[in-house]
Amino acid sequence: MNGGRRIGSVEKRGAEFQITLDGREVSAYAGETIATVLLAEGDIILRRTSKEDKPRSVFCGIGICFDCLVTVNGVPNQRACMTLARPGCAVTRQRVFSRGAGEKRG
Amino acid sequence: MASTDVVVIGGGVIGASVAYYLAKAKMNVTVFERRELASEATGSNYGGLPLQTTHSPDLIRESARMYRNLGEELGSDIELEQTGSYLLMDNEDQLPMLEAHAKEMLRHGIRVDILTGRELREIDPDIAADVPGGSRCSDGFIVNPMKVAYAYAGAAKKLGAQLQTFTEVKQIRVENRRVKSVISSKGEVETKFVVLAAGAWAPLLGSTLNLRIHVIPRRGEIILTEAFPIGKIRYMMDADYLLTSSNLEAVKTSTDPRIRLGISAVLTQPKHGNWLIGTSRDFPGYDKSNTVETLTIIARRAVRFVPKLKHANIIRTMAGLRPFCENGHPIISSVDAVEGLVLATGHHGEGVGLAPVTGKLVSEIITSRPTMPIEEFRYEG
Amino acid sequence: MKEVQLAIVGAGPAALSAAVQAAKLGVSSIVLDENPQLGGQIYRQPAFKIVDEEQRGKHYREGKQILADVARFSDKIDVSNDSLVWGYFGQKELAVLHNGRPELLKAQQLLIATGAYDRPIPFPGWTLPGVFTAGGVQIMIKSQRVLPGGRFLLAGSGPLQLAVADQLLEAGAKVVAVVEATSTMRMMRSLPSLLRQPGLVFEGFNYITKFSLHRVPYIRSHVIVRALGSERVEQAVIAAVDENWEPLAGTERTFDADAICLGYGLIPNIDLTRLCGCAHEYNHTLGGWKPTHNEHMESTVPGVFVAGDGCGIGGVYVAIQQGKLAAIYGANNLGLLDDSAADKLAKPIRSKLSALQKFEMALGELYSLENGIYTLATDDTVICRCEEVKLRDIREAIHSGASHVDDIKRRTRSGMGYCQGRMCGSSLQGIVESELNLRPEDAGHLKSRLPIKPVPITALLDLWESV
Repeated sequence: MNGGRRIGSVEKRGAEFQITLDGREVSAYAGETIATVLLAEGDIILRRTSKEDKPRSVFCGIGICFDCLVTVNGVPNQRACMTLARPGCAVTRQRVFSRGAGEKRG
Repeated sequence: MASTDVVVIGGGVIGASVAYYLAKAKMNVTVFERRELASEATGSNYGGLPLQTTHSPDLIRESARMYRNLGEELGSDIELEQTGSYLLMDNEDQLPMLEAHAKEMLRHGIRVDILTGRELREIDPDIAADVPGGSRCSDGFIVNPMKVAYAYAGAAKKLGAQLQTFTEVKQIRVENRRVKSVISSKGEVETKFVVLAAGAWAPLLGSTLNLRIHVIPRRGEIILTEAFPIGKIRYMMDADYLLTSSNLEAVKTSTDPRIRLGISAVLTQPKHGNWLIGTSRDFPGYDKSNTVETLTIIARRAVRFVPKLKHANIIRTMAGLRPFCENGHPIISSVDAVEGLVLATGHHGEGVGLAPVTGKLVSEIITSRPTMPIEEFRYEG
Repeated sequence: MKEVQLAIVGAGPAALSAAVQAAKLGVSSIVLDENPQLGGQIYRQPAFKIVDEEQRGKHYREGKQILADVARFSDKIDVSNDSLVWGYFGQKELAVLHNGRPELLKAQQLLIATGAYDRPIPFPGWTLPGVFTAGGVQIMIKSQRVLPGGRFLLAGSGPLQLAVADQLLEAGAKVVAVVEATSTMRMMRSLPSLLRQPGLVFEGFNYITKFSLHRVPYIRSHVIVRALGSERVEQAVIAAVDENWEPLAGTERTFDADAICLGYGLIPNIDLTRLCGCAHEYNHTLGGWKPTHNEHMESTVPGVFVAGDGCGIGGVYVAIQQGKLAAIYGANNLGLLDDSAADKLAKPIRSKLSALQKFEMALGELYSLENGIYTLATDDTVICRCEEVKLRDIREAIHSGASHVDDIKRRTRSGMGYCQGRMCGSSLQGIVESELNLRPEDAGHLKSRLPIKPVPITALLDLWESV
């Protein structure tokens, strides 16, 4: 089920621009957080946990649970719900560890 | 009145260890801890046994040996990780000091290798390019200090020891120069022996018995980062740790605020991936708050040695009060003036490291005789 | 070091009404908030231009009004957005990270109005993508204008989820059920006290009527017991509960859903008040641990004031009055208002507050969390989301002798992750309460240490310039 979507007509939003999600170009609007763009795309799984490789998404939506961590322009561990989407920003999902992709815990 | 063989005052790693070895020696033990186990210095440190920076080489060697099977013996994982320990030089001028120190350590049976900057960076390329070299002690390791305390406490309990947390000792009653009983917030208990393992708080109880215990609280602040991928060198220290940890005169008279605060970089990265970055050594009384100055300098010092940490996210800071003894040695000793009283304090930066051997020695002092020379750790009053 | 007369941490109704009141009394203030815009949660402004303002609802209008007031006093109110107050170093010295730049700020008087957050309730499947807090979804709809799913089940207790369900319907989402933990009987018993604020009661009934018109089941005396799905929510399972909110066997019902909203009340944000050394007390009806304060809204630390949900859940109107009181007595402390003038100004505010609080207490008692909710988690349920610590690990710690929440943290790592115990703290307390039959205040609390939210090491490198 891919139920996520923007509400109402998008003409009432800010300026439109492009960002990339894991290399894929998607539209975003000025004022939207990265979480919003991801949720509107139905891309609800934002990361996988370090210990048990479980999927996680936005939970609290107000920046205190730190579940919605994504990598933005190469900087890991950014809260998607607190980070505004900006033209050209590259958002990539995090696997396992933070800095240094793909390395499993020893 | 309730009665026991030994009252242990203090539920940190020393108190827990003492309780275990005494219980193992078939003594009835009651531990009084005024807060929770491992809630003071034990709960705010690295759990490091670098070995190469020890002030008590014979003790630490024995303690390290005891650590090898400790988890198994206590039936609990203490998260021992064989990281080795590294001292990193700031500048070339430190080389003679490091070489002399390595020789000294070897005399005491602790093997230390001198490494060039290139060799260091071959092991771990994240070490700053201008670090000219350092020393490595491959036998150094880290443990989880809280888990050590819990493991000892749990095993002690299984052997019949009683652990009373949130119980503050008000008075040690002495009659005819002999320990009689201990009065706590939960009542009075008759006892033959009292082990004072209250760390930086030992002098406060000591003064109620007119004993001057020369231990002063020495604060250490630590910065904790988010989890990182596991690095190659996971236990490193500023070479001038050798200076700041023991040379009190130099520390007091230095014009460098860093030295005055006793700050030398110590960085560890246990398996969970968080970096513990420290540390300072100042004398604020019993104040455990963090200060701007100290945190700033610690951060700068850490980044000097491992630049990649610059952008690491700090998720917590901690501070603990080490029991600092001016002569640099712990006090593991009976007390002539009060029969039945044993002191086990003053471990400064080696509390976790010396916990096993301290517990064993205290148990021997009480039940038989020490199997190692302990004159150096005698309480002089 | 920059010095200000009044530093206000937070930018919701309490913070903003305090800033405006302070300005009226001649006090200069700085409003520090992590978010890019003022408003906190309830007065969070839409991210986009709104064409049809009338449809936005009264909180939007009230919020706009208060923001206009703040703008009017721009000579006295310094607005500092994107400012994270992460540390307190004693003597009212705050460490701030402002747009990535570290700063130390000294306040003569400090108001902490950091609001509250949705209470996390652990149950099997609660960490699945698609489980959200009701408050979080409300912000998604109102401010960001995005739906995080298509089929919603709301479970919780209290009026927040009624409003959210309504907002979901307005946005064109499918709401499969609104599940309320309290019983009809309990509601009926509270009705007389609640009718002090007939408008709010009417609003509640209005929502329920609307649900029935939209054929959205409003199911009382039920809680969510499980979220099912492999990689994300696919189904929600609810069950009937007794008066203690413990699920009754054989009453489970399953709904197809791709989004679950949890609305089990709010918890005051007290990390900064703890860090400042303020005394705290436990008050179950008001959300749990809250800073102790006097009639002046001053905490036990002189010159540190508290107001709003951050000092006990009371809702927006209580927050506004408390903010005003804090400003008045802050001005009093600063010597700009003598005692009798302050008391005179405060008198009508106090009577308003008293009336509002009676209602809020009744509401709080009606929807007060029952401990049975902590029986939902099974041994395999994650309790600490950050460190993936399970109930099994926590029980083991308790059986090994841990009787305090801080002790459990040291033994299990619960509370050692990024969120520093915000998500698991109240659960740990509830679990200790049930397992050891302790009162919540005896179960201890997680210690607060700086930084109260993660900051990069660069936030420290230049913090103390003179070094």
